[in-house]
Amino acid sequence: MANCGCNMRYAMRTPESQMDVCAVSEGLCSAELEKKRSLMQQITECEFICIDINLYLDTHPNDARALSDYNCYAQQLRALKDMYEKDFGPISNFGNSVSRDSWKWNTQPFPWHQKFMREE
Amino acid sequence: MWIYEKRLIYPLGDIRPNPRMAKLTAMLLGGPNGEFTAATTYLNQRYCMPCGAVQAILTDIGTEELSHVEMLSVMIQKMLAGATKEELRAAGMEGWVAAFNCCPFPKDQNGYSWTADYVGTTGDPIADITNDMAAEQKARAGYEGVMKFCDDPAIIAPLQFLREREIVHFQRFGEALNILHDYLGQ
Repeated sequence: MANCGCNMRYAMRTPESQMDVCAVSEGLCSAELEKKRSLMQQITECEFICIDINLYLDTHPNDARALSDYNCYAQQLRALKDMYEKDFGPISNFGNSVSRDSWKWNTQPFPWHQKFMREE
Repeated sequence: MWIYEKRLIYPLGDIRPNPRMAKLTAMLLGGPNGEFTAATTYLNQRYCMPCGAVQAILTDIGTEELSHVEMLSVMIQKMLAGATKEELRAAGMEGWVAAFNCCPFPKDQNGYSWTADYVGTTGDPIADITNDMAAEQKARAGYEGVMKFCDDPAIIAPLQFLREREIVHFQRFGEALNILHDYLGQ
């Protein structure tokens, strides 16, 4: 993921996420799909870093370098989410994301996809 | 208050039908040392903690555990969905699917239902955080036990991620215990 300028001591390796099955019905072209996948991967990695530094700061509140890193990644995370939500809809509920043009919270896929028992 | 994010804390790859591993994964979700117990315990213990640092660590780790509950739930759903009746019978999971379809449910690998008796709250700050350190180690051992029976990289990767988180949480709870000792000693 992109370095926001602070000390890059954090990393998370993530596998290629399964493509949303609903992506096709969203009418996205392959470039848009790739942008969506890439942004979501960056959000996942950036927020993981934030979670880990957050836990560390809970028990090391006087570590100035960790605090600086936390604020740096928190800003980067907000920017990534803004970019994602502008094109691909809200990530969060309850007023933490805006829903442009129409109510998209219930039309964008949740992170599980329904499949049912196969009938022989 | 909680806000939901429409994504998993760790992305899942292509998880194929695998009722045998669904059965073992149930232990990690709804067993005595599973994520359901961890999330409930940590969030519940917060209310008797005397200092902000420990309230914060319980809130933050408890919240992360909720995201682990969701990950394991999605994994169980994917491992049950699409399995044939024969595969389900062979894994001893036909009862599960008869009762819950492909939904996750807080039961362990032997079908015992999750119970509030698993929640490790005493209201004594030292006892509670010491419990949580042990809980993280027991959960880590559980992940290692389940991974021994798994040869699918798409299942092993998320289990490895979750196992690593137990180790980080153990470390943080150890530091929280020191903070508590300092606080209570003053």
